[in-house]
Amino acid sequence: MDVVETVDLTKIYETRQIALNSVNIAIPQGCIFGLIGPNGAGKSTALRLIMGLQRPTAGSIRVFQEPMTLSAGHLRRRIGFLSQNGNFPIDMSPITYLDLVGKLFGIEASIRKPRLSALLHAMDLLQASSQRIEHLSSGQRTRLGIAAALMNDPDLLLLDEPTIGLDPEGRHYTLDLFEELRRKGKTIILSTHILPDADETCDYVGILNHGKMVFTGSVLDMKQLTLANTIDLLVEGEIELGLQAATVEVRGIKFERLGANTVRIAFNSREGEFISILSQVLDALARHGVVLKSIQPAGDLEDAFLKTLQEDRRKGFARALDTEDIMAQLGIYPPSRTPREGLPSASSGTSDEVN
Amino acid sequence: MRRGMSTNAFLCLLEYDLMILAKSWIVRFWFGLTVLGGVVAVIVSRNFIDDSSFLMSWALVLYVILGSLVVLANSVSAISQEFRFLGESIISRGIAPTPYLLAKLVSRSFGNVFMFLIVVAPTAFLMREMSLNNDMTVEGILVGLAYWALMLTVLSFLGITVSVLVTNTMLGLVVLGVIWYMGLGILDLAYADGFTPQGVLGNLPLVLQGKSLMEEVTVLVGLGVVPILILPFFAVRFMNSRDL
Repeated sequence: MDVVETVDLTKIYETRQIALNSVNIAIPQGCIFGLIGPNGAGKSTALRLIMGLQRPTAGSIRVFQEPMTLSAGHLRRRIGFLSQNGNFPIDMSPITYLDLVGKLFGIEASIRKPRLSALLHAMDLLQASSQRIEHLSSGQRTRLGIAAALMNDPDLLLLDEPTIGLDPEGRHYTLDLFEELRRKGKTIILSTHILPDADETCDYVGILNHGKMVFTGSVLDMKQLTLANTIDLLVEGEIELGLQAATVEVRGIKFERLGANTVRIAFNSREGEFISILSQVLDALARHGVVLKSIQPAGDLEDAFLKTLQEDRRKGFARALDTEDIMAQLGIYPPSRTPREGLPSASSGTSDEVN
Repeated sequence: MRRGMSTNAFLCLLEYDLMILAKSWIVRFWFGLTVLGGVVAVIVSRNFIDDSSFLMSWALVLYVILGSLVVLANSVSAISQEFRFLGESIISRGIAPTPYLLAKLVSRSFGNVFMFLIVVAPTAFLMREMSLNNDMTVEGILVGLAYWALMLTVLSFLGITVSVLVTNTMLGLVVLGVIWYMGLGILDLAYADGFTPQGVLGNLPLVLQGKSLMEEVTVLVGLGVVPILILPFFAVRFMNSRDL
């Protein structure tokens, strides 16, 4: 079952800024979906639309199989939301704010009070629980936001930059908490531009760039964008001997030692041959005393992310040049350029962009 | 099930907003000022031979001139002041706009009317008991207070509706203030006899004397009840149509 589904979701603000452009996503239950993208890509807007806090200009949003709107308060009761800005009633203390949140969710006092103190404890806010929120540090505010998002034991969590302002320990603790929630069957949408966070926790990612979803798929799929047909092996034993033997016995592969026990293998195989060649490699290694401990696709999320953005930019640039060519053919020139100055050729423009 | 949840949300938001009002420095200051004004009014009626209905009418007119500003401030700031965190900290916690707005309307109008009645009602009855020349009746006082309470409720509803539209509290206050005070001036010209001491009061002393005409009651109730019924629909509609 898809917990969140958007169809051609578009948001254009009154300032005519296109925040989201025909975004389609379907997020299955029990996964962590990372919404990644550069600043201003439309991540926060997407979350606010899913929350029903903003109205889409076009397209639709369904949450828990029902249309999401501002009046759908009953759907929001099943959602935990952490906003990026951490806007709270600053004259309240964490304890009174969390109590209010619990009351708004309609949680009975017998459940609300113990949950509140458990969350304050879990989020390391006990010492600051009676301070006014305006006196909290940004990290404490983030932790308070996470506590508020968890107050209703939600089925779906929408978290906008949940590790911003957290110290390394707090960050790891928070990411571990998300893993734990996923194990309990919760669905999490995590908006972040900290790629190691997405790499560590997400099952699926969507890359937003200038309001457009330029990639959706699993984290492994995304990593393969940069290093297709490449895997990393964690091995033990006679590694050097095994690699020499495998190089001789199996054609179309290239080894690279990444560490004492880590080996990267790049395959030059065509589609369909991959599995048979991999099994030959593993067989050769095993025969020469190499013990396989783990195997995983190679690739770095950050490289894949940058490559995706670069390709999208290049496409956009090419489209812009096409438009200018068409305009030139029609005799319509952009205001800043006259026919005498001419238009740059598509090739020179593209090479500038790439270089 | 959903209705129960909405009622629960409404009551919780009502409690939250009444707490905000109780902490407000404007409310505290105004309450102190009106208590002082009430004491002065009783002392004046005890020492001057003017009719108590005339003195009480002046007290009510002064309350509406100065108090309108406080009522406007309380109501225009109701939503605009928390707009910064409204979506993220309140609406996102399982709340729909309707219970939120209803809670604001009830809380702010109740707060404004309560502040008025808690001071002005005892003042009126004390003046009736203690003035040198009393001509007010209990019925007259009750009708007069009801008129004023209705007017303050309408003003509260109007302020909250504006608060949904205008997120800048100061701007909302100025716009609505100009409209309200101009409206009061026009009402005075239409119903009273101009800006003379007696003219400003119009038929108010007669109302306090229990001689009010049924025709006037009907018009005023109509003018008050219709906006009270209509404004919440507009407020909910405006809120549903904007981004939080």
